[in-house]
Amino acid sequence: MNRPGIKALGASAALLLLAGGWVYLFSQSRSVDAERQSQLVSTLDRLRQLDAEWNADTLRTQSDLVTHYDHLTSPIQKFKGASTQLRQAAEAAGNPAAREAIDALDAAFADKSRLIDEFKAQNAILKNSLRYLPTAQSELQGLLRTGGRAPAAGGGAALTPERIEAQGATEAERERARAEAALQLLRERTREMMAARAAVTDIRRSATLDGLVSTLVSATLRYNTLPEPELAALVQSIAQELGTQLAAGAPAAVQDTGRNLLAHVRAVLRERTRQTDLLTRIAGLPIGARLESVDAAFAQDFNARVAAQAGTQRVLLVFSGLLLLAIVGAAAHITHRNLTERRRLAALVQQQTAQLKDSEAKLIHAEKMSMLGEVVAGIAHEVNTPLGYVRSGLESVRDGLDGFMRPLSASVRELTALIRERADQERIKSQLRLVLQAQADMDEAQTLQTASELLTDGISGVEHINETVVNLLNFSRLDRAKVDRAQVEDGLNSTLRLARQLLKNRRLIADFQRTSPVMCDLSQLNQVFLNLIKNAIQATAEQGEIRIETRQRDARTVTVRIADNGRGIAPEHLPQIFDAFFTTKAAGEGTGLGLSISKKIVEAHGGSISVASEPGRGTVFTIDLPVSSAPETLAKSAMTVNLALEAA
Amino acid sequence: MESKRLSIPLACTSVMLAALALVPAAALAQTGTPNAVVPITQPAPRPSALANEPIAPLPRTIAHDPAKAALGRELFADKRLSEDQKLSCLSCHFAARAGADGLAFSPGVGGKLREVNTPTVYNSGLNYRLTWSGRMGSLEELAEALMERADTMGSNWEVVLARLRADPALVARFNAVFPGAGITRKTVSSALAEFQRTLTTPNARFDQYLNGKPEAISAEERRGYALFKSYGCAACHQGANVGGNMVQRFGAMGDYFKDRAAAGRPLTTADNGLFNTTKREEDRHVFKVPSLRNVALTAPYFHDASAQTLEEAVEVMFKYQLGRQAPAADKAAIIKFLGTLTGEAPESLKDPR
Repeated sequence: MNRPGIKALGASAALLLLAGGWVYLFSQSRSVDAERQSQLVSTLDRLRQLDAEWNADTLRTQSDLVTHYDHLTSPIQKFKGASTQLRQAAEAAGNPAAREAIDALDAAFADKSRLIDEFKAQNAILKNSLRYLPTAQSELQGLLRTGGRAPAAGGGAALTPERIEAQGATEAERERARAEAALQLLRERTREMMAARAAVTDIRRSATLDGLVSTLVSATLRYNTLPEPELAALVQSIAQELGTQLAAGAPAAVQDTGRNLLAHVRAVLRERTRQTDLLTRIAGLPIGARLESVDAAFAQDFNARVAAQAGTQRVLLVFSGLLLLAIVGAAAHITHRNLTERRRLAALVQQQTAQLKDSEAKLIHAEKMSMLGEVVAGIAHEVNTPLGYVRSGLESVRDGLDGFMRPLSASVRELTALIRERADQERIKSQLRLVLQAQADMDEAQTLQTASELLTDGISGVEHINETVVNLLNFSRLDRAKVDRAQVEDGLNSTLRLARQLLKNRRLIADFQRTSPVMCDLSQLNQVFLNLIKNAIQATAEQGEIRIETRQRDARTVTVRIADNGRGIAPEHLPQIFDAFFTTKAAGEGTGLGLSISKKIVEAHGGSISVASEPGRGTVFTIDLPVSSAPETLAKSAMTVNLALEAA
Repeated sequence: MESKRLSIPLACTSVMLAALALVPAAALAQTGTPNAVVPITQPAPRPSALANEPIAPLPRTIAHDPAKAALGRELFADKRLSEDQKLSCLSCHFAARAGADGLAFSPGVGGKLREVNTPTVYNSGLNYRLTWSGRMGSLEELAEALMERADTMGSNWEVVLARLRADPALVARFNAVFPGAGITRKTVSSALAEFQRTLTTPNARFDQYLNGKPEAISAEERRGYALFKSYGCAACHQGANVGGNMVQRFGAMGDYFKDRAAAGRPLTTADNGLFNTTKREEDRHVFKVPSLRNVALTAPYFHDASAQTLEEAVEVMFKYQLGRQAPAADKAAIIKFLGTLTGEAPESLKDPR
């Protein structure tokens, strides 16, 4: 695997880790289930209510407002369900304190269930005994009145409440009777309370069985109303007395009923006391406290969780903040790096472009030098030929003048001396003759004329050399502003003069029309022209024909056409001929850059160069040049040209 | 908080005292003074005639899971539950005997007789506790326990579960009813209990009477009901199930077991009732007050099956529970009333084949 792959993998792993951490923290920060807590709270509230209702129902049952115990059993299942719920919640929360509290709560509820069971059982007995007392009383009194003879089945004891109830007085009658009785009872109760104390002292006086039964029943009922120990003692003493009297020879039927009565009196005494005790114990069961401690255990756990969650939330906040910061930082870093990279790339591109331009300029220069190398021979010839005859002319003049001037000047010197010596005439004359003779010889040899002719020739040779140098200067335009308006014909002419040596016997047809001056670097265009003319020369045989035309194609375009009737270019090569380093010439004969550089130069001038060729028939290069380049094109052109020239 | 916690018992106590203060009115109203001629059996004025009756009608329908109950119904008849695979629940609880078997003591696995009379399965879901002594808190608990009781199914849960799990069709049904649980001790017990809860006997003539049709029961039966209440039978046999919602000492007003022993049936362990479970002396001879619904059909009576007829049973009740005598006509009326507690038998319980 390559390095970027590893890096990407590492980055994804790190991102995954960070995201995982965030998700973990997020889930932890949501871990507290407030709904569950509120369910717990409502379950506990339900239990509190259930417990309160249970207490209330117990009291309702005790006071006979409700005559069955279904209400007292239904809380058991409800409690079991709620307790199971709580236990599950405690297990789910892993809350041992709550579990213990629920155990304690269960135990308290179990105690309550048991106590309420006991209450139900004893309440049933107490109520039945209370209910029986007046019946037993009236039965006994009936028996006593009839002398202990048991009443006939269904007949006697006609006044027992069951009987009257069952015999079915109308509902309204019963209601009225009940209301009256209640009223009467309320009125009588106070009186009875007073009477109860009097009764203690009256036992002996009401020593008859009848009286004892009445006293016992009313005392027992009073005890039920007001379960005071002294009343219990009173009831017990009356019961004891009644028992003694029954045993002392009462009729059998009286004894039976009397024993029943005593059993029920004892039951009332026993159960009434127990009932108070039971109800107190039931009320005293710590259900409320147990519920509170379950509540507290859950609340403590919940609060701890909430606190932990708040901690996690803070961590999450910090983590998120850091993550955000990291993301922003990473983004900033990437942006920064991108900018730096872009700048670096831009610099690199610039540098490489410069290098490219540099090498391009070097190539152009090399091409130029290569072309110059070819024309140097011609130029050397152009200079050497006139130099040769200038030299030989000058030598001839020197030699000719030497032959005559030396003897002449010697003769003249001698003559001058003779004259100064005032020598005889003869000697002067003969010397003069010698001088004249020398001059005559010189004239006869036309020495001066010849010298003059030679010098004239020399001057013409020097002029030719001058012309050649000027032409060279024109070609390279070293003496001019680089970009200027110029006639392409001037460039063509100076190029042709340079290329004259290469043309040899080829026919050159220069068909120049009048064209507008072109904004250009003419030396560059000359390089193009020379390159094309040289190619044309190379493509044609010795007797070939090269045709150069200039045309004003339209107001804004000047066209230069350089055509030959040479061998042409193979069609497959045509698309490539402007490519750099493309050449069909043998190695060493060309750089393969001539045409590509030409194209570059023309395009730098905002112009275009195209070729048409037919193998065996010849080739035509057409250059279109704008009269005045658009400013930017011109600038570009100037730049390219500058670069080229600077490199050169 | 602390004061609040303290205040709860305080409040309860004061409410209780207030209630105690009301009791005299009630108690005296019931009995009157020795010379009182106005018999009053109900302490508080009633908004309507039947509003504060000790007995409530059975609900017509019981909310249940039909699929689970159907599964329980099959298991109820499934003999694979017993050790020798000869007994099913249905062996002792069938339709022809109103959810019981009519025997004094049912033979358990291997023919060994049980110690107590088989109670009816009808309306058993309405009992607040199960078995004679009321030691079981729920039908589920009961099913779990009876499976391994030597005198009942005599089985072993692992063996039973293995047998049941070998039945692919049954496994599939369990998986459908108890997704993710399959056949387990809990699910088998749950299905059995669910089925038993559906076995109620609604629409008894007496329920019709309670629901506002006075003519549903005869005048004599009405008188029987009034006597039932006024003699104090309804002190224990009350609620929708006419019992089954409390425990009571057998022999509250007389030593039943001593007399029975004297008559030739000595005390058995089962006679100790709830004591066998709790070991609390006050629970000795304490039994769950049985439901009287369909009582006319479920002889013999009592845990010891000592009463062959309702007459005998009522006699025993008067003597040992009410501690008093009653004219034969009253008892006859009460028995007539008990006949009105026979309801509509559930169709889902069949007879063993």
